[in-house]
Amino acid sequence: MLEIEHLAAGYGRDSVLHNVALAVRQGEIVALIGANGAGKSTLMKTISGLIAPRQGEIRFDGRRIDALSSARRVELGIAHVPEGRQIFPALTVAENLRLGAYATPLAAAAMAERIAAVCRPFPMVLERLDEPAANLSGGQQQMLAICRGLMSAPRLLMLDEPSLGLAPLLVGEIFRIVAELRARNLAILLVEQNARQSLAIADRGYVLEGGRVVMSGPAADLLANPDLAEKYFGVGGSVEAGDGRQALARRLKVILEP
Amino acid sequence: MLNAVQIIIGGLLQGSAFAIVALGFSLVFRVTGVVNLSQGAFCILGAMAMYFLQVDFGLPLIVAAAGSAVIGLAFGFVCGAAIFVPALSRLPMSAMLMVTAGLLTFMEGLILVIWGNQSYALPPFSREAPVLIGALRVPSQGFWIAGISAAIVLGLWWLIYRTGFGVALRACAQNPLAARLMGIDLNRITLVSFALAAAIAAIGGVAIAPLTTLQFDSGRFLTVYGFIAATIGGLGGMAGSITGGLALGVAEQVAAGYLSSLFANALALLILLAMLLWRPRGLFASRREARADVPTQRRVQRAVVRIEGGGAWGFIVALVILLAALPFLVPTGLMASLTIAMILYIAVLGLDVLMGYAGQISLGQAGFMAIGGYAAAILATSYGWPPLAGVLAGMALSLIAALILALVTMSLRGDYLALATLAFGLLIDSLTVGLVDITGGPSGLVGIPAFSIGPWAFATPRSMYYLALTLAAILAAALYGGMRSGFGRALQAIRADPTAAAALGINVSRLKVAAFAIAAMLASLAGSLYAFNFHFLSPDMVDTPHSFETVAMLVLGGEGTLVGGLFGTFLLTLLPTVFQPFALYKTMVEGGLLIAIFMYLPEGMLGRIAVLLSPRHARREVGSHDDARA
Ligand SMILES: Nc1ncnc2c1ncn2[C@@H]1O[C@H](COP(=O)(O)OP(=O)(O)OP(=O)(O)O)[C@@H](O)[C@H]1O
Ligand SMILES: [Mg+2]
Repeated sequence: MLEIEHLAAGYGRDSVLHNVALAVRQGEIVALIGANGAGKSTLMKTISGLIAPRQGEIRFDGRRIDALSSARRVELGIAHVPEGRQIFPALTVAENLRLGAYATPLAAAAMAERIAAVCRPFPMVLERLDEPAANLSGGQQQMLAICRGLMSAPRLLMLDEPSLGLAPLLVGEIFRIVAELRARNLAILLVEQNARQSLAIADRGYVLEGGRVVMSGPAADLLANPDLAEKYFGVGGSVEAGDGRQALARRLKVILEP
Repeated sequence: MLNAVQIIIGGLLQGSAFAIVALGFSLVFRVTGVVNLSQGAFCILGAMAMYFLQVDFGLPLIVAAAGSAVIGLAFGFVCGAAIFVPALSRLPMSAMLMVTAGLLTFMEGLILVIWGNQSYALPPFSREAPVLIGALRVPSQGFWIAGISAAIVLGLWWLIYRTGFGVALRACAQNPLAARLMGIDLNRITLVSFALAAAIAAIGGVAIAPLTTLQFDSGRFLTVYGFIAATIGGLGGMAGSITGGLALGVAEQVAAGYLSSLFANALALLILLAMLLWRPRGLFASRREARADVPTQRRVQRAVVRIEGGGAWGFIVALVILLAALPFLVPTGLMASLTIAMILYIAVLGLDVLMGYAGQISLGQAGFMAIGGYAAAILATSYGWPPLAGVLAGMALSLIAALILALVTMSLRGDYLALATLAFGLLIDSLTVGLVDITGGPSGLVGIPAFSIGPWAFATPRSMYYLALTLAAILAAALYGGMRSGFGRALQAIRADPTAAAALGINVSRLKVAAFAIAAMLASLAGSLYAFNFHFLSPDMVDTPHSFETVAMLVLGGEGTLVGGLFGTFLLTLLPTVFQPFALYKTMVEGGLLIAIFMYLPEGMLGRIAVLLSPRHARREVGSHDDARA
């Protein structure tokens, strides 16, 4: 369904992704693993069209989409639930949801039905439709963001750290819902802080290091890999800030060395 | 008591005009975060179009008014599509401010070309006698203005809060990145808001034209008053803009009624400075409507090309020789312009330290030129000071003004700082016009002696030229060295990334103040030389358009190169002289140039030439990227 080859992308003069290849098939969950700053969010932004690739191809259903606008990609069936909620705080919950279907307009009745359908797992959202989204708690806002992503009836859903800031009980709930969405034949690209848990529900996984795919394969194989276990599954997580720090060091060096 | 009520009603009427302009401001600001300085020019465009349709063409009132609104809307669409939206996706905020300043200048020039520089007054909408409420007289146009304002407010409210477009617009305002993820076309929403704001401004211009007289360049006052009103209201909210407009109108009228109109102008600008300093989010800012996810300062910087290596010195020596020979090479008719250009270059040189090295924008350099010019002129004529002492006194005064302004504004975001300098420049404008006893008012000061140092007098343009050339060469050489010292490197670090620079232990605010002071003192020096050169000084020789002009000269030549400004200065000064018949188009061309340079030639002429001639010696500095509008 989604195929990526030789993808390179970045911001300004900083290159972040290098020669990335990745595929997501219908009805499968693919987990993306990597330290902070590895480029996971950047990859998602490139797929949803927020940043333009420098090289390489992105294909959806076999057709090139890398030159399309974000709006067209949403129409084609790609939804991106970005890192850190990114809801519209001053709009009501209902307005937030309706904006989720902005690129795929619905009549009023169909819209109400769609809202009811996507919010079924989150009854709380339905109860507070007329309140400003800013009134929701952090976890509730995260649920709203997921519902909003589903409003365009996507076929590929990209979730960037959906459980960020959620109570442990809710994290389990999110994972359960992700599995349920797969059962409805959605393709899901998942980034999670908890690499072990996300690989546990995923079919396959990719490991991103410094913007390159360094390992990929069936989730079970990755889970069993001792190197990965040490790096990404350790208790307390030896998550490195290495790349982020390197980027800062690069910036400062440019300034200091005229 | 009755008088007070009358004044307040007058204030509310005037305030509703400010409120209309403020509404347009906040619409654009809300969606883009850009302060659109061209807003006031659309008011004038609307008023002039109204004059054309109603008076020249004889159309009925309603048709003419609708026609003016459509002209405003259409012109807004064109400017938005050709300039504003494309610029927004590639320029940092501070440059956006200059692009809108360029658009303001361009439109002033366009209106000048079409309608000339006379004042226009429109007939009132209806000819009823002023309405008497008790013993109060309210002109009938007042009711028209109030009605039109109310209609605009209702229409805008309906659009923003009751339509799908409005939801999308608010989404873009709150979180452009997420809005793009929803498939909202950010550029389209921006374009529509820009054009709508233009139409609102045009209607506002139509409504207030009968109450006052308007000229091609009155737009900048409306821009400033509308901006002040919007700032009082917290830039962005509708209710805030209206309250801000009305409050400003009343404050103005009360100050004008009980003190003087000069004080009223100064008061408005002081209110703006105070607001920017203490309540940049407005008196009535609501937390919920605040922009959630937008970085307050985008990380992109204007591109600069720095020229270095041995070639640079050779180039500079050749340039000085050429400049020294220039008076013998050009026709004598051009000598006066050469002198003016050389003097202005000194001001541009100072601005380059501030803009090209420290990365700050000042829209108030002409204010310092005025301080220098008037101080030297007054001291020389009324007090018999030697010119040199007058020049130094002017520079000292400018230094003090710059320090005060800088110390209070240093904590402001980059583009707010630029606006504070704009307010400062306009404040000085109103003082030079208003303090008639000291400055001679609009007609200016005459009888200023020639510049002299001891027995040497510089009475001819040519001698002034060599004086300015010598000063400029010394200053440029000193700054060239200075910018390669630790001080200059620290300034460049600030320009590249203020946060990282601070993390490295660079005292960011102290260095910014230093750069600001240098720029102010050089502008002041240029202003003094100006006065001695012309033996005459009037407010319009050193008013705010000249602040824009110095910025245009600098960026046209190339910021951050020190010598680049020379090319811009000579070009913009000499071209109108050489092509006399085109002098009418000067303002328009300058505005157009300002826009074009920022959009297509950010490194300036010299920077571009340097890159073409010798890529090895030209180092291009560009910052990183903001992905909300990539
Ligand atoms: N807007 C931006 N401008 C410039 N550089 C950026 C921007 N966003 C991210 N980067 C850089 O790109 C690199 C990858 O960032 P990205 O957000 O993709 O990492 P990530 O894998 O999602 O990390 P995390 O686990 O912390 O979310 C980092 O070095 C970061 O500094
Ligand atoms: Mg991330």
